[in-house]
Amino acid sequence: MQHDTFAIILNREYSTERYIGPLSRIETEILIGPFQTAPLSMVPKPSRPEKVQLVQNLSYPLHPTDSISSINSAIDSDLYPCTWGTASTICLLIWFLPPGSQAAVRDVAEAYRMIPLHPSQWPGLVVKTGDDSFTIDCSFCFSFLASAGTYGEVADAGADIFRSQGIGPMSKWVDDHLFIRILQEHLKTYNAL
Amino acid sequence: MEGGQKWYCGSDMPDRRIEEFDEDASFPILDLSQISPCSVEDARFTYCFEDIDRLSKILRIPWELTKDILFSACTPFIRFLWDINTHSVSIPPKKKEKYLGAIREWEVRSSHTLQQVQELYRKLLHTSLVLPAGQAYLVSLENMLSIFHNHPHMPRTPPKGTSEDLRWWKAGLAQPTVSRPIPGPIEVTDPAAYSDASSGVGIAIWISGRWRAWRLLPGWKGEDQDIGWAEAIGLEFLAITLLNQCPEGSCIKVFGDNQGVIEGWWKGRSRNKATNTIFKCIHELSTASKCSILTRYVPSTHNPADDLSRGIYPPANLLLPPILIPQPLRAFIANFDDPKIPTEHLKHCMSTETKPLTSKTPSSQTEANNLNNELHHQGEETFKAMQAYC
Repeated sequence: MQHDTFAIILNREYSTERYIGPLSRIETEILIGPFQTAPLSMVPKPSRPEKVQLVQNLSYPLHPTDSISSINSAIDSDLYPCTWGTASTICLLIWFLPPGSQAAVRDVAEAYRMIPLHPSQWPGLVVKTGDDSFTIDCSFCFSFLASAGTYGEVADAGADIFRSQGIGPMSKWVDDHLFIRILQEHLKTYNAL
Repeated sequence: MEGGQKWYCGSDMPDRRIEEFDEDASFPILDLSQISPCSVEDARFTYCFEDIDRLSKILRIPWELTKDILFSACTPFIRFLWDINTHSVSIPPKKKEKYLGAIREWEVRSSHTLQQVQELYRKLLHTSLVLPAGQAYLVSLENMLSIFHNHPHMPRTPPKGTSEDLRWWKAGLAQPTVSRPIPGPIEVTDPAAYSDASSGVGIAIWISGRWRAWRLLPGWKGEDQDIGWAEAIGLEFLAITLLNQCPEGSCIKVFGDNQGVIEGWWKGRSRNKATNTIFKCIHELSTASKCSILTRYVPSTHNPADDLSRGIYPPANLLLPPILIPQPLRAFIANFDDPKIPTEHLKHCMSTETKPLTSKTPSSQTEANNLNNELHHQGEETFKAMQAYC
């Protein structure tokens, strides 16, 4: 059962060209040089436990040893800043809303997977799919420390485009988008705030 | 920019926090109601779902349609339920059950791995935004986070007090609704309220020229019960005195000169167990009165409660009404005018511990210095006598 699910996930990644493979170790090294894999697990999606997702533990090992350090240990997520709809931001946003306002929420499907990874970084995100079977992951993924900020920058642009077209006020937390709308009668006063 | 967060700074709020926005509001909101076909209800607003779709198609944003939550006054976002009409934020019922389940699971185990501690801690830390009193009930878990060192997978027994803290969380989460008003830039009331404590004498509060003081009784010092604890009691006594008279929803500014306590209260918790216990009581007062306390630092030299805490008292006609000293504190604290207990006389003979006085009143300064010297001398005499006796 798990094996089937694993195969389905792999096929989907190959068909969307986010995975390059399967490749032998030698083939992979010819393409991208020395590479690193990380422990792989299948985890139920938090919002839909009936669905599973592949997660590479890019923080393994937790503490670097002499011979190996995790991919994430080399990443400072502060270097990938973006906006966050934090609780204090949302409190303030709602505080200033005129009466009768409403909110909707929309989630982006497979948000991180939409963002291509620069080829120079591919050696860090190789997935071991079997004995001498490897796959190069060409997209950002969950558990990769740079993902939230890198996707966040794209999503920031998206949010600003919505705002530039007069849609708003809005906010977001990673791929979770909060769209707020106000009654027309309050438009002038709200814009004047 | 702060860490990995870009944000736009607004004006200072009355409580001196800075308004935090995630956009610069450079684009006005437009009336798009004529652009996409929409229902009569939708047409009352500036835009509708179809307007989002229209733009998303151009941008090729793939929304996960099964997760769409349509427009309403009450929306879940970042694991809270936001009610725009009532201006309240709550923990969604499903999350509430989930968090309660996580505590029950925890209680079944006698020891826990780092990951298990982190998971429960994160859930409760998040909930503390809606239940601010919960901040003081996070300390035992927070202490546990630091005991794993290099062995995150080795299960550890939780520190003392963890099960009591979790009992509080269970009761809090078991309420039919776990909610609070959305905090915003409300006016801060400044009643000119100060508190202070001195390990040699006692605790005092001063509100707009009126005062009250308490003596610390011999034996008050103990494990964790230090000057910070006494200062926190000063804050608690201020809260007891002030919160009785404030209208619901007020935010009251109080001053103190102990940075540990003043800044500790900003986080609503203290790593010092005794101080944290006092913080729990202040949270309780604050929750019951639906008012909040905002602490601010003032240097000792500008703290009118400073002299009072050393036993230099103004006239009695300026006294504030007495308060009922909370039961657990009665073994350590007495009203300034309560008759002295026998051990206090002995303490006065032995004591060499007084804070240096500030030079606000030269005559009382000299007097206090003399008294201090005399006490010091007496202390030495007593010590010599004891040595001779031994």
